[in-house]
Amino acid sequence: MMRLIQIVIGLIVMIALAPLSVADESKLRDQFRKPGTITFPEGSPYSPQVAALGKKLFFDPRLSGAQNMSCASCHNPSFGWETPAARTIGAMNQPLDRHAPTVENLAEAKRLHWDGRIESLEAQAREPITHPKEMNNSMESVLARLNSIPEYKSWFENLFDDGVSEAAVLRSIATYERTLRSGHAPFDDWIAGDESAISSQARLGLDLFVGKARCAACHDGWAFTDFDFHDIGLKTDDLGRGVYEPDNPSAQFAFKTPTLRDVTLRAPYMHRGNLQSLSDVLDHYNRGGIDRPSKSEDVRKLNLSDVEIDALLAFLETLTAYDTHVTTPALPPEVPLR
Amino acid sequence: MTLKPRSLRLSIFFPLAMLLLVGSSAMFWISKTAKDSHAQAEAHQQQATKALEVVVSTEAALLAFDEYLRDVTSFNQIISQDEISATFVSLRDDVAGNIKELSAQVEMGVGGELTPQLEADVNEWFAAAEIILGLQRSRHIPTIDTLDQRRNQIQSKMTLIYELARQYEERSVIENRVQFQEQMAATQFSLIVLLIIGGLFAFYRANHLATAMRRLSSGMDRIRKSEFDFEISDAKRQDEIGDMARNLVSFSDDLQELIATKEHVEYLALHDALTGLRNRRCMDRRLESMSSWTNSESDLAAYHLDLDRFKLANDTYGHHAGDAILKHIASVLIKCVSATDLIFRVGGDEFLILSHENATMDKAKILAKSIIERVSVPIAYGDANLQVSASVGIAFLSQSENDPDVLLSNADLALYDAKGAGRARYEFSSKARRIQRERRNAMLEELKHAIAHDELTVFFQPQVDVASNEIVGLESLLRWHHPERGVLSPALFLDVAMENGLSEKITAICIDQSILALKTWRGLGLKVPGVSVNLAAVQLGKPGLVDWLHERVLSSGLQPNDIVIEIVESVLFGEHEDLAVSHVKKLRDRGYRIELDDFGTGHASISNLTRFKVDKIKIDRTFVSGMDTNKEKRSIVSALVDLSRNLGIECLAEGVESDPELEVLLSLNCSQVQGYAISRPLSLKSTSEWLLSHANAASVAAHTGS
Repeated sequence: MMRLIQIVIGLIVMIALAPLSVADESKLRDQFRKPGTITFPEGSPYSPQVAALGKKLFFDPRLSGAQNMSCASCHNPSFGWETPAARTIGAMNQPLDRHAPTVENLAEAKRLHWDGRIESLEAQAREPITHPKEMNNSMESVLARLNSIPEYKSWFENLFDDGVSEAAVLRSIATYERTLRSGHAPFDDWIAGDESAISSQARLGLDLFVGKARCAACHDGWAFTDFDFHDIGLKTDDLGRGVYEPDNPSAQFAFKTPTLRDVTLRAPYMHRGNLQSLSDVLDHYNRGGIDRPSKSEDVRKLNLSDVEIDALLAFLETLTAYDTHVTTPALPPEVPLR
Repeated sequence: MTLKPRSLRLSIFFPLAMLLLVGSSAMFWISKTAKDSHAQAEAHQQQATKALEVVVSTEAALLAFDEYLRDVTSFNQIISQDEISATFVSLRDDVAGNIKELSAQVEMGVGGELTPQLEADVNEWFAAAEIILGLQRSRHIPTIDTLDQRRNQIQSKMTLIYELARQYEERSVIENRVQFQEQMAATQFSLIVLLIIGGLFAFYRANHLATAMRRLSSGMDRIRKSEFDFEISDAKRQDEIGDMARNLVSFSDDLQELIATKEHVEYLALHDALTGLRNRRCMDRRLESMSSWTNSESDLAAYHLDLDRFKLANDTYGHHAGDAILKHIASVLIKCVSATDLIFRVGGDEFLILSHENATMDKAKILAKSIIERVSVPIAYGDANLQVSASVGIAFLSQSENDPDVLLSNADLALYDAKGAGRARYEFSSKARRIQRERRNAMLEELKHAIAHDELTVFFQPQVDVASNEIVGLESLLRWHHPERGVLSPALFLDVAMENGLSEKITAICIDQSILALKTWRGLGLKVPGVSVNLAAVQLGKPGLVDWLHERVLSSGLQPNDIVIEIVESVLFGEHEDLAVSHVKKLRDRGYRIELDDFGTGHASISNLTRFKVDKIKIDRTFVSGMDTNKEKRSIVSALVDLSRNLGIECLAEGVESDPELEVLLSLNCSQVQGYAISRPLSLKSTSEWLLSHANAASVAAHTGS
């Protein structure tokens, strides 16, 4: 009898709250809806030819000094444009300081790298090529090499006024990178109105994500990132953004919020890759991290139950695209056959 | 052909023609409807199929565009803008063209307002594609997701359109089918109704006809059963049935006449015109129909009646008198017999009565007496009184003898007996008579067998002139070598042979063997003047005898005077001049010798010898035998010898058995003798031997004498 009354009351509440919840739903959908376009910067306009050239360069190991690494070596599409190494192994076979961040969903990013020290993709592209620990090359060497490859030379000459140039190389790579958008995920179907696209557990996870778990405080918007820097209470000696903003307390130990689309592909996690799985990540957030003056207010002890953590995990899984497969381009030969 | 106003043809053909007309027009209608519906359905189907084809083609164009878009945006190869532009335009135009065509199809009823939406979606898709393909400059490049979304929108609309086109096709097929079925149902229903009406009418007509036919048929049946006394109601009809009925009526009339005529003819055929009694044919037929008379209840007596002295009355008073007698007898017989008895006139003056009533001995006696008495009463004819009497032979049908032929022959035998025993008597068929007749029949069979197996041969008895001791002739004598009874003389079987048509065979045997014998003897160098052959009246009376005999004799190389024909007196000197006499005359004229056998025993008077000149008389053995002791016989022989000598006719004595007889004959100047005193009859071989020894003896005697 009591149970019946509960059900009836529950129904009444549901009916009463229905308009509210519909409004909430619609808001939620808008909050995370992917934009239909990618906005390219004024000075670096899109063209399919440049993007294609950029893709070849992105996958071409001849851009590294020893010709042993391409951009894709550390930004592998199979791992969500990252690498499974906790700290990326560079051209010198040495681990770098940080875990490789993804290159996905970055067209609109104002600042790049974990610490946001670079503000354009063109500039960012230059860094790993020329970094001695990373690809260990020089732009001169890159240009000379590309010039020596006839097909590259001719493409550059066709597409750019001054042929093979540093700007052209970087712009090509950046253009390609701007086209990289997470694919259509089950969650996008949910946004489009298909309730059955995600499980009820995942749906609960979404509620926790925007509510109790406070994830959406930083992982907001269609890319689940505010493109800002936050200290999430990880034990680290890396100041992160704090290097560049020594006077900003909240920038100490703060790192850029990464996108959560395709996040299941990107283990290990965090700027040094010291959390092996999403469960570890959620466990970290549930406990609230270590207390530090710089730590974000939104990172605190959450008291999430195991069920809730599972729900969150289920939700995160719905962010991975149905199809994450990326085909690789055929690269031009070193020298012509004759 | 002309049709009667109420001809059956009209009443049968009209509904039939109507049925055919209705049926064929309905069939025509049905097939036309089916054809039209089919054509319409085909057109719909084609349209629907065309719509489907356009949908499919559109989808293919969309897919091609989509694939190209994906190809370019995978960024795996660098394609020049010109190439992209050209390919884009080509693929886009293809899609646009297809969609335009789809709109045309849609206007015909496929998709309604969907195509404008589709067109809008496609255009949006094109616009986004243009940007992502770098053909349209923009800072805001559509994501792959966006393109996919557009594509999905288009796809879902296409699916919808495809579904609608398919439904449209199905619907059009169903609609056509339903329409066709409705038309069919209506046609079939009306056809069935018309056929039922026509069929009922035809059935009514057929039934009507069948009834009339049945009436006519039963009428014919009645006519066949000779029931003419009924009315044929259809005769007043104006159609073919009426014709048939009228023909039946006239056929019935004709048949009645025909039957009457037939009955009359039959009556005439089976009855005697003079007396009105049934005739012999009627009797034969009656007896045939009584073939099996084993039933004792159907006891039957046959009275065979023959008038005595009728011929005399007929000859004396003329045929009219005879007729009057016969009519009288008929009326007498009718009065005598019972109503169920049958009287037949079976011959000139012969009557037969078949009676079931009077089939016992006692009744038969009474009836026979009564008939004889009444017949004997004289009849007044003019001034004269005619009197005849009747002899009656009576036979009964018994269990053992149930053959009608036997009955009649028994009655006949009994009549024969009655006549033989004096006239105006009746006799019953006796067992002794039957046995006698059976024996004769058995003998006849044996005789036929004997002739076929050469049991009949000829013996010869020499005739010698004892004065000169010369052979004057040999008489051929027929013998039967009976396998059981030994050698039989002709007296035992000749009558049977003559009465039963064996005379010609007998004649042939006698003549042929005689000729053979004569040739044999002459071949031995013996001097034999001729052979005599006995021919009875029956043998002589056979047509063609003379030519046959003459041909035989001449063809064997003999001459007519080599053959002597021995005949008895009664042949020559009977009451009438018959064929036998004329044959004898012809034979004599051709040179055959004629000898009179058994002379002295016949009824003819001696004066007749002057009428017919014979070559020799043979004095009968009854006079010769014992003449040495009997004076009277000697006187007769003496007289006969003198008579012949005086008439210039040779004379021979038969049956000379002893020397005293021989001496007496010689003393009477009768030197030609035949008999056991000279030789008994001998076979051909023995005769030859006898003749040889006789010739030798004669020669010895001559030498001795000289």
